[in-house]
Amino acid sequence: MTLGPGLAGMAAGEPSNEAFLPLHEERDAYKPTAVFGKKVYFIAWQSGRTAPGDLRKNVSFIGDIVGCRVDKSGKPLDAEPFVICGAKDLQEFPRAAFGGRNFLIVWQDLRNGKDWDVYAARVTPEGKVLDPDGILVSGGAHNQAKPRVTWDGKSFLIVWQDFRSGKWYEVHGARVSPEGGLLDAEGVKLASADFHHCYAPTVASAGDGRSFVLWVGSGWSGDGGRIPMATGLFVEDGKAKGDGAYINKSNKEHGPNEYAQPIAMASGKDSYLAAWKTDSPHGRGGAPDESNAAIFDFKGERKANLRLAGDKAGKVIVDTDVAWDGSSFVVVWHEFVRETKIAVPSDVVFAARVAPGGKLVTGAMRLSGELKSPASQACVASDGAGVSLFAYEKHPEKVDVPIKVGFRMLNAADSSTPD
Amino acid sequence: MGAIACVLGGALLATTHGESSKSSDEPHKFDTPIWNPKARWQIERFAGCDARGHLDGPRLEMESFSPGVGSRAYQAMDGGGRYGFGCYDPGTGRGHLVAGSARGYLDGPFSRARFGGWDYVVRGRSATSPEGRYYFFTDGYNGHVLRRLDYEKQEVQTLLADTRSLKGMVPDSKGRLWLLKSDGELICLMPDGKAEKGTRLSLEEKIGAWGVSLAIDEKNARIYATTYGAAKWHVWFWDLKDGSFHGVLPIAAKDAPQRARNEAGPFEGVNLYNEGSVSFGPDDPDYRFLYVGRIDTWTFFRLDLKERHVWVLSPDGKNKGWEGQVVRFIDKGVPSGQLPCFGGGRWEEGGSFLGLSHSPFAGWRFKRIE
Repeated sequence: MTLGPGLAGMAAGEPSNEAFLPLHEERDAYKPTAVFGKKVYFIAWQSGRTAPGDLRKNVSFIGDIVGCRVDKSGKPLDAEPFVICGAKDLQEFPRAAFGGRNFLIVWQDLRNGKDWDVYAARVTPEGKVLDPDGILVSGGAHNQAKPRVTWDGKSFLIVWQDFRSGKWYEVHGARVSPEGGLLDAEGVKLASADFHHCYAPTVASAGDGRSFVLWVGSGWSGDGGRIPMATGLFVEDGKAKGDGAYINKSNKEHGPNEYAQPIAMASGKDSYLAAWKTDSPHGRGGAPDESNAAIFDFKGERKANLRLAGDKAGKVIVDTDVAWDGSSFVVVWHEFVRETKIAVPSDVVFAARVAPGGKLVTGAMRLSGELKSPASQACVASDGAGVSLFAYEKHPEKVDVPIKVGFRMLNAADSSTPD
Repeated sequence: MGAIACVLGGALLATTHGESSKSSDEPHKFDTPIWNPKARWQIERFAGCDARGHLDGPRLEMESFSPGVGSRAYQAMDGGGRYGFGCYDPGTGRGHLVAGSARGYLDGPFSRARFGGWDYVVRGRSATSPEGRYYFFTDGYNGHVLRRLDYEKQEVQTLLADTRSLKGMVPDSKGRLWLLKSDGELICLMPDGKAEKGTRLSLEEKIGAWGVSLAIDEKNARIYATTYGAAKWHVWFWDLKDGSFHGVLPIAAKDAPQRARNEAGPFEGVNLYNEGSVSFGPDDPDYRFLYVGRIDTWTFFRLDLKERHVWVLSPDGKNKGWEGQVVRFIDKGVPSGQLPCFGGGRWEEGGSFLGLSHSPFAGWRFKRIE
């Protein structure tokens, strides 16, 4: 095998050298997402943000969704990124899944100028965009935002938070067929409540026809005792099964909640791992940090909580992502780190491997970022055979250089994995 | 949680008089000034949906800390892990993170600029220029440098090195920024970025670690102030001609008679929580009325500096939720309910204002109706 810049010089269990994806029109690259399928890693990101101009007059945007492929050796396959969606206004927060034949990219889209809608587009492993500018998954009045997607073995399941009630966010979902057909027009309501939000959903599937959906609750603080902090349920054939496989009404579980989200989740061979952000400013005191990840079994029962960054209290992590590498979960996040006690904090990307039972296989591995050139907003994809790709925003040392997507790879195939 | 509102409030309150002056040429909807006793406001949700998190976009469906939304510049407290600054566009009714990329330190274009983050001690150390072009703040995690966001050019610039001793700031209508240091030294930052030393102010009240909220009376050359932990005065002013200190709103001695907490009435005997903000409002060319917020007290005060009387904002009817509630300033008694504006208000044309508070992660507008 010819090694690209990613795997060159990589020892088993050690991340490869850092490499970068090409820029799209010299724009800053934000919030990458990664997925693996048919021997390639596919990375999509938001290209650009605010358009130039006096923000006091109006605020206009140039945020598009673009993508690029990387082979298993870490070699970028596209000389320049291809545009998945170049619609007007702003497209944000891409997420991706692989469905056996093609990738499906989902994102939130403001092309209507008023509120967010959810769009999706298929991309082939050869890099062809089958649905240029995307297909509308859910639109209409109010926000449909923060979509996540998984492949359940038969179709893609997209979940999002939906404000169509005009009062509270609800969790909705819709399936997209491998051929790109929307199987649940405008979506199916998966969760709602009449006195609080159900929002920030995440979803994962083992490809067995079932998907585990997890979200948090939030509302008027006086109703705090009545609002489930987090709830999970299974979806089959586009419909919710049961009233909730997991309901957390207590702080004692230290699971995800309104302060500890968004959540990322992946499925392993017999469990799910969910990991969440713990750097949510919420007033006096620190953010919840008793745990930042949990293992759920295939019944949706929480089996273990853990701290990805180790046992140090007060550690907060930001913007997690999770993949399954065939024997372990691979988790990535960023933290702000002070190199010395008095130094300026800056964002650094870390990763860890977690056994299916919840034990840390590795301690936190520092992947990228330092004061002069921070790294943040990381994502991870794995080939299911031990090789994972971590991508992240790599911020420049000099102001005239755009933010790039940096990546490193990890071959964990030779390292041991405890139960 | 109060501190967060204070951070936002401090920034916005400092601008109120200048901005209202700018809009004074616009047609006024009401014949009476906002300080007329008959003035009434009705509360409506302006931004935020009570959900924590980070979601930009249409104002009523935004997540996270949004009390500051409504100003062109607001701190996106969560910002999706970016520690950035947002911008509200009245044309679209949307608010978005526009400045900030990662945590760290970098000046330059909004899209790549990096900020260290904020904490409680930022209060009083941020301000917006009267025309809304610049937003100033001290970056507490980056060596306390004074940084300026330019919303016209979308650029961030560091203006002053270590401003650790800086305790408060207030802009004036000429585009100058007045900076107060802990030793009483007043620095005037000119529109071109040059700093000039001003009068040294007499520090008869000790200014604590959380800084001081300032309001400038340009007609009479005074700077009014309030701080946490004051011993004798809730509010005072400095005469800019000679730096002398003049008490305004006294803190009652332990044995002296006091009214109930937050009760309206004469300056003497007032009973307020000892932390808050000061600002001037519109319709007040003589700088007669000083608006005072007190953290966590869920109301808002107006000091009549001429009559030496405290007015307090109160719901007109029974306080069953804020939406639709009608409120007015009363000159006696205690407010009949809590209101989401203890961090102060950002005045709009016609005498409406945005209330600043920290709960429940939403911004509330006080729309003038009478």
